[in-house]
Amino acid sequence: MHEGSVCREIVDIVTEAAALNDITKVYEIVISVGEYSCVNESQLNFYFDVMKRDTCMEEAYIRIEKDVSITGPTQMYVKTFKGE
Amino acid sequence: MKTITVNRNVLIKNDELAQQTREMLAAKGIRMINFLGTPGSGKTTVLENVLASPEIDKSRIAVIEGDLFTDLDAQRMAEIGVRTIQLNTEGACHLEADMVQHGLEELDLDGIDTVVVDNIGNLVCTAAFQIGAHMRVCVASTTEGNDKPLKYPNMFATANVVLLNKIDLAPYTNFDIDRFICDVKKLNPDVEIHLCTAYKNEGLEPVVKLFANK
Repeated sequence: MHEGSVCREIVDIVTEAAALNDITKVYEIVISVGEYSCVNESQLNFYFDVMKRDTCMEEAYIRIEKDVSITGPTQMYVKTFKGE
Repeated sequence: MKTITVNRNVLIKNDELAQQTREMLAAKGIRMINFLGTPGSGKTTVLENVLASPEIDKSRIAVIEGDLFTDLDAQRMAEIGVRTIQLNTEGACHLEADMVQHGLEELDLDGIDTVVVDNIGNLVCTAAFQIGAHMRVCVASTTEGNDKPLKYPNMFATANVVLLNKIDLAPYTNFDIDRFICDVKKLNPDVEIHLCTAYKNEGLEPVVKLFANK
């Protein structure tokens, strides 16, 4: 339901990490979420398709991985991304 | 092709702001309570009746009202004589840490020891976004159906207190109170659960106590 805010943060985090690692093209972003994260992969990618324009993520998509060890109010982590 | 490991909390900016607020308030001897629940569960009615109780010193309490539109709830708080400000999210479904931080800047905190945030009615997003509170109170009601804890687990798993409101209407619904309590306890064994009928001022003593004893 709050995929818009979540997506904005993911774009910011990956932009910063890509610059630090000299990555100019990102292909896959893996988000690790807890059992109760309430974030939906297709909705997230819907926002992402708009927000990734004119960034290094233009060709990227977001994949969500469940990790039941993640608990507490905040249950979403940018785990890894692939790029060159 | 390289794989970069990030392991960064997606909501880190919000959570860091929330932590700043939590520490800023604690340094002033103020605790903040995040009042959460569905629209119409009775959050504002609980607050109204609790704050109007003779055991509560209203001059020590301030309320931040969160709503998409209108200042109707802030007016209700002002009527009982509590220092209040209204935050309007213009459609956003939850309060974020920065909105609450701005709200606190506008509030005169002199002499205040408890700030209550009457959050947007929503069981999903409000649970994920920390605002810097020291405690979460979730208001549910018997007209919503007893399946809500299982459907919205993050809300019930992170609450410190759950109030089940509209107990007077329970006989007219198929709400299973025992099932509700059992499901909440399964998600959150340490939670305090209280039953009440807020508009009749019944069963609110535990909340009055919570507000009266700092």
